[in-house]
Amino acid sequence: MRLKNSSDTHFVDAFGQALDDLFRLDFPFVATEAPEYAATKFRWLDERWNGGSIDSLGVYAYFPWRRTIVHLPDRDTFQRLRTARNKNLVTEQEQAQMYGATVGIAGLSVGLSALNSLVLAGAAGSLRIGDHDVLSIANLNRLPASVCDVGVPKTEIAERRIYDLDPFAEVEVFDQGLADDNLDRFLRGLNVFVEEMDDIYLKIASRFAARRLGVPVVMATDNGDNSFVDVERYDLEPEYPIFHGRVSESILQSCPRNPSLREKVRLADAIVGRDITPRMQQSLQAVGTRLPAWPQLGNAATLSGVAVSYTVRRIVCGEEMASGRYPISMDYSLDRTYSRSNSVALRKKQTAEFSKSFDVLFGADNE
Amino acid sequence: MNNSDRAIEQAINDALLAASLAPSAHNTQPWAYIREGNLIRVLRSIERTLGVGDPTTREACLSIGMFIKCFELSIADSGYSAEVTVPFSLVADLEVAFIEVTGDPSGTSPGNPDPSHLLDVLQRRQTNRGLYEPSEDVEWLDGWKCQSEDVELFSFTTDDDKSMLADLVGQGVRLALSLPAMRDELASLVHWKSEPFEIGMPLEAMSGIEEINVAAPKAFLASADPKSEELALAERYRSAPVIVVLSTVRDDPQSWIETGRECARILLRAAQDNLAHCIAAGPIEIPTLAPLVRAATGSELRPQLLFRVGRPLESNFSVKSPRIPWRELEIAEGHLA
Repeated sequence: MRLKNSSDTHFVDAFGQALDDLFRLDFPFVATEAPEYAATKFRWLDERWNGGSIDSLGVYAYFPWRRTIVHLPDRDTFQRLRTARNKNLVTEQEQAQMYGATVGIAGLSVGLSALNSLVLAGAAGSLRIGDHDVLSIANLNRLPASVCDVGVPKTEIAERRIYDLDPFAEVEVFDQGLADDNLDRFLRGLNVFVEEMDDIYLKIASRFAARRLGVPVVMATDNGDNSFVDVERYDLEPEYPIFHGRVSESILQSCPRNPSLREKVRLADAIVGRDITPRMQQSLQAVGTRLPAWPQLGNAATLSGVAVSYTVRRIVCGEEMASGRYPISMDYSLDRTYSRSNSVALRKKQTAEFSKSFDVLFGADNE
Repeated sequence: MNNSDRAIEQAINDALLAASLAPSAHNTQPWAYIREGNLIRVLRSIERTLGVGDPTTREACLSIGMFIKCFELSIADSGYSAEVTVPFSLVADLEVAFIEVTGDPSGTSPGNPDPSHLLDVLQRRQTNRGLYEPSEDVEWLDGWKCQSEDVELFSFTTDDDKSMLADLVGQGVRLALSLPAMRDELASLVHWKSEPFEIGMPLEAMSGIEEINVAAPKAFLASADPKSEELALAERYRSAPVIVVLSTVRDDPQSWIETGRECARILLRAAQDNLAHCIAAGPIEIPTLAPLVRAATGSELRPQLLFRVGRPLESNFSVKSPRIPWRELEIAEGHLA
């Protein structure tokens, strides 16, 4: 078969272009400028790749949203090539563990960023993704998407991103998002559940289901430019309290399907806590009056995605990753004034004021 | 089993014994095999491939080439033929060669009239890391014809040439002994000759020191000074009658095995004259030194093996190296992974 570019279909010979890289992977000790390079490579091509005539080898993948056909090597070779530069920061065994994992991601705002980092890393050869929403312009401050995709379901944008990076990935799509009647189907058999949904009821219900099924939950939450990661190891600790026990389980269990604003805010407050950045505190107080929704930055979404990907890797590779909350602070690392005593004192004062205002607006937590 | 079966069985067993006596990198004996009737599947042993000193598996493949050549010579001595196939393989591949034993020796005797002769030569073959007699005549190396078209031999007998290569050998050992991981790996391979062991080297033959009441690895680490070893080894290479470099057109496991086969022919020819040898991996394996060896050969071919041959002057550097009994080299198919 000889494929040519035509006016409506584009052809990319990724396999042919990869042969040099593949040889370098098999023979890293033969420098391209070495006199033996050509003869060694010639024999390798002859023995491994049909003398370089590879038209009938590998696979041809069609990307309808790009109207593009790409010639690729087989799955193992592709995977080896695509993750070659991970070595030995990620060992071969870890890479296999990562790619062998099934990861579910629900909520594709921060979730899309997490998915992007995970798939880039060559983790999660098998994915389940869930979101009911479509892309809007207001998402484009934090989602790696395009204005061309406005109105497209976020699951479809996620799918395209996955297949763009790994056409061999197995993806199961829940384009209506998660719901009571599909939670178990989404969660069963997952190695890790990445929970990034906005819906407070589903955040709670999915955790009860994950705990029942022994699936670990990872969630990253934006906090200004920063983030924090919550890890709940229901695979290792079947009795571990939901949300680390920050809210009593009887209150969580009684959360209605459509909680009132007050119920929603109070639960979110209990889950997140009040140790958030001053601008986050100010913004939260303006939600519903001067702001339409909880603010989220692209920096934080990207940072959260990286943090989730890192956390998932540690879990699937069997490294220590205990239940708990892990703050990741750009402010702490990069703002030299952040830890100065006057800054700390100011934040403490602001947090106390925020707390007071919050309680006035939404009722004290122990009311 | 009829007489003919018994004869071929005996020939194969003899050949496996002969092969097991082949030289190898630091006496690691990185070979193993699976036997299927008259077919021997030759494998590289992962656990006996050096982790630090042999990052590409070149040293293991060179050793396996020598294993194969010793097998071939023994089979020929028994009057059979061994058809050796060295397929293309990658560094990660474990199955690196096949040997099919064929022929009926009755009536024809293409082999050596005295089958014990080869074993005798094999057992006389010796590594010696000490000084050699400089005036030894090694004319038989002139015009040596390599059996593989991929392999070429370069021999150096002038003082200038030997001095240049000896310096590289010295630098190689200095660099190797300066690397903590390499020192630890080498230390893990040394023993006192009075100790029972199957792989590795007696420290007495490596360093010329006498046994003391300290574990051999510890004694090695205490005594292996990079600079003094550099000077000593360079001097020993300089004094050898000849330094040989085997180079290849390609640089892959197939070429390494072919080089090992060629090397075994040379070393056994030397053993016939009771000459010893000493192989230096440093200048081949250290990326900054290999181009200098290549330049010394005046050829574009990739140097794969560098060694000296000669009549040893210091018998304390020559100690019989122990072996894994050949029957224990056989592995079950299921263990291949």
